[in-house]
Amino acid sequence: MFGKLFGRRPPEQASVGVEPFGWEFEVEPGQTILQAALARGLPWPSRCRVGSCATCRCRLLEGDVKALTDTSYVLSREQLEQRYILACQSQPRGRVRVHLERAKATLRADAPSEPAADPR
Amino acid sequence: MGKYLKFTGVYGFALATALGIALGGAWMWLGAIVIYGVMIVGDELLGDDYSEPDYRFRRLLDSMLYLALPVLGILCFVMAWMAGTGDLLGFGGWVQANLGHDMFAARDASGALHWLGAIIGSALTFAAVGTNIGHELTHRTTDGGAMFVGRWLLALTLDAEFSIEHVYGHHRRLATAADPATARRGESFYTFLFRSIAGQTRSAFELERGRLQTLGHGTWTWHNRYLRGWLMSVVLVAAFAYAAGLAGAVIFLLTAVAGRTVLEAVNYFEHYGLVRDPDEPVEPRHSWNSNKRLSNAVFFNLARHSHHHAQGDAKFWQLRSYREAPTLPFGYLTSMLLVYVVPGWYRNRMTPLLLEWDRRYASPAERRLAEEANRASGMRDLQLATQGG
Repeated sequence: MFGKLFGRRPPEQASVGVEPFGWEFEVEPGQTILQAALARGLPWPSRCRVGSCATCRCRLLEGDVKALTDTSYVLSREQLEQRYILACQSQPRGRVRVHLERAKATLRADAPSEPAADPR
Repeated sequence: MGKYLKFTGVYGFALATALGIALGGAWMWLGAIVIYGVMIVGDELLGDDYSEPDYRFRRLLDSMLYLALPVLGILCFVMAWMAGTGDLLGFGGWVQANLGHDMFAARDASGALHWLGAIIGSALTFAAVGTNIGHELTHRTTDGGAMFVGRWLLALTLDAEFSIEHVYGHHRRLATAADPATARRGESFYTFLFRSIAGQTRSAFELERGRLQTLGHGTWTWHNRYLRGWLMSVVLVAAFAYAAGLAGAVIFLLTAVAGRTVLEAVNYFEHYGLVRDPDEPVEPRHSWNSNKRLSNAVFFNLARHSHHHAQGDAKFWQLRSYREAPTLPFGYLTSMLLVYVVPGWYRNRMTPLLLEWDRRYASPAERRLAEEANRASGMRDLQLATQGG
């Protein structure tokens, strides 16, 4: 009711477009870009998932994200100026477009598939 | 309601510790004995808890974290009162008039051996309430209030820099040779203790310096969170010195340092001997997990450590059981006592579990790292197993 009163529209569905792979996916409220990507089985590179290793970094081309951690511990000044973000610590505000350098498959040719007894 | 209330248990221990100190004499051991006794026996009797309840009242869960401030305030006040000479804030007179307990006599009856118990109990409380809740809060790096309170809680054990090193160092380097807070195979707790503290301090400073350089600030400025963290601990020492003189400052410092060793004991057994290929993501297999009912209730699910490291931004109430993850043989206080008192026995106890980890959980690259770790461990059973395999 108040939303109507003050003309607030329902928040735009968050979604991500990933260059140069052409991936498109939606992101649930509270989800990060990485969580949404991995949930869809996309080979997004990642290691620590808490915003400290920068493996999942990508460059923001369009739109805005909410950063969950202080990326200045992790990214260089040049990277910050080029609008690099950490996928594991970014919640899109509406629709965003990012550039990802490499997908996981090319990160390490001999990477093992899932270990047999791992609970994940 | 129980699924909420269980997380207040730690405050019962904290208040028991404060009460024991106020009673003086042999009662000063009350906190240490109750905490170790209840936790060790309780974890044995109550077994595991795999439940993963949904929580509706998340504000309530958060408010339980912030209870740490008043409770630790009470404990510190009682410590300072008993360590001092006068009647701080007239508390002793008030207690005598209203409750009939003579705190002045209790203070006179308390010797060094009694204070030893007080320090052990208070150190456990500083760690269980201060460090543990400070850890939970400082993971919430975009919540200014949580960071502020969390860093003060960590400053009690002279470790506000944990808010830097743990999140941006330990979580990134977990179970690799570069992580000071991962214990190596065969490494004694007391060797680890010094290596871990020195390494984490250095790492926190370097991380902060890097951040300041990135932002274009100087290292020796008020922007420096590492230096501000130490200043917070200096403020706490000064407060104890002001309230209770030299004795108060010394007792606080001894408690703070002992509390820090509690954190390191927990660091030690949470990842002892585990290895990870630095090119692979952190997975639940890179932590020793525990679903002991009491340890998780009292430590806000910290023992569900596999999920915490696989998803560092999960709140304590979201942590899942991961019952298939590598599992600690004991609850947290039992493990701690063993690590402190019989560190060699503990390492031997973990040897078959490590060998099972190598077979069952390790990736091919990790199996090679594990073999290297076994050869370097200086432990015969690990070395023999590697030669055999």
